[in-house]
Amino acid sequence: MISTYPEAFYKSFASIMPQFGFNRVKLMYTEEYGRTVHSSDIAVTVSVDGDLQGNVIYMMSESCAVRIASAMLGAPAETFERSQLAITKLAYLLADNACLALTGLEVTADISASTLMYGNFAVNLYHDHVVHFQAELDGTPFSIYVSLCDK
Amino acid sequence: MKDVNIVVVDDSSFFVAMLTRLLEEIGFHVIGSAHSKQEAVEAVKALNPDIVTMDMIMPGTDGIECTRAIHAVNPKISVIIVTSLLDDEMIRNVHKARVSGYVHKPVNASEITLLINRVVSDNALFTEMEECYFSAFEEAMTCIIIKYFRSAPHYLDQDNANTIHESRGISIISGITGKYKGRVLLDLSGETARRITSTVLKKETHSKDEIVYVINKMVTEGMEAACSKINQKNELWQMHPVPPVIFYGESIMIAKSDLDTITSEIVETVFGDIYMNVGFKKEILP
Repeated sequence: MISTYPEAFYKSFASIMPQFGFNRVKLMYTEEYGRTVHSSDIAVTVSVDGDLQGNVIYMMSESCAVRIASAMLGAPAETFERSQLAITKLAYLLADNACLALTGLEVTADISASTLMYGNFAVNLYHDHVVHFQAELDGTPFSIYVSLCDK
Repeated sequence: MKDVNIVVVDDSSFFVAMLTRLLEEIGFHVIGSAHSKQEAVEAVKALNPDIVTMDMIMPGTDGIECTRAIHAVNPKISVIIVTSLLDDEMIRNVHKARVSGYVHKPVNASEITLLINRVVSDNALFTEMEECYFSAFEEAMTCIIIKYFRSAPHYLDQDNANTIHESRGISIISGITGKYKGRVLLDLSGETARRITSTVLKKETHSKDEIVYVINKMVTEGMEAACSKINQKNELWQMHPVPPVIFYGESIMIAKSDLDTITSEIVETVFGDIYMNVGFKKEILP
């Protein structure tokens, strides 16, 4: 698969987050990853279908989720429970924007609704090929796992 | 098309009168009006309209805040913003507030007719889908269970609540793309998944890879059957399932969703219970 396609998901993140007031969005590293991702934080999953098919997972800590939700809501989210809906919507927005960028590359990609899970778990993605973007958002880690293949 | 009942919200009595006359001349029913957020909330509580037309700028509030207040009363009411000012930031806010569309002041009769008719037919299409989607998933689930388990399931505790859910150990999430964005969540215990896999493979297994493989295959097959059944009812929906992701662990919580329609149920099988939760978002603005 062409590397531009997973990159569209990081670029979407890097272009949208400053609009919520995050000034330092930094890509720390990118790596090829196996199909199983372990987490003790928050994961929001969005499915992609079209010329490409697969899943994208956004992972962050609880405190990062509260910070992002507060920025999105324009007021302190105070608790993680209050942040969940905002983060679910954010993942949908980020993936939707990435798919819009892919359309510019003449790649059709549609997305599903997003689902937020939290706790201590492993996630098994459908495809072996997973690209991991490790980013920082004003110093807070934020991960994007993109598992797509040509349909 | 059924009668369309509208409430007009604007702080200017002159504009309310003008828009009311225009909408009634077109053939819509203006059943009430309001000049403030509080009056708007009272009007939608009392009149339950199909559509509210909403002024963007009002003393002490704005159209976005009023839209949120109306949706807190009834999220199914469609709100159309009527404004003379619409910049990029306002358009972003309008999207976030789940507004169904916007028209400019002065209101053009054909523009607002087209928009209201689109909103009404979108609502009807979503309602049609809402009425049939879960039975399609139940039917597909029944077929898969009979095929692999040789025993029919029982369905218990159907519910439409949007709540936080604690996983039994394995959660499978399969996205759905198409006219409406959705997802199916199936949740079961590790032991139920192991027993299903052992039966399908005709050997006792504890292998995580084998369990994931079998569950993936069964879910993909069920999802394809369910989406195909839904698409047969109305080809406009064009629903496509996406291969699932599987979460497993001892402590997994599934958050409340931002879906507009949700149905969940317990599927009682010979190998243990499976929690099935299906839902869809309604795309508001194209």
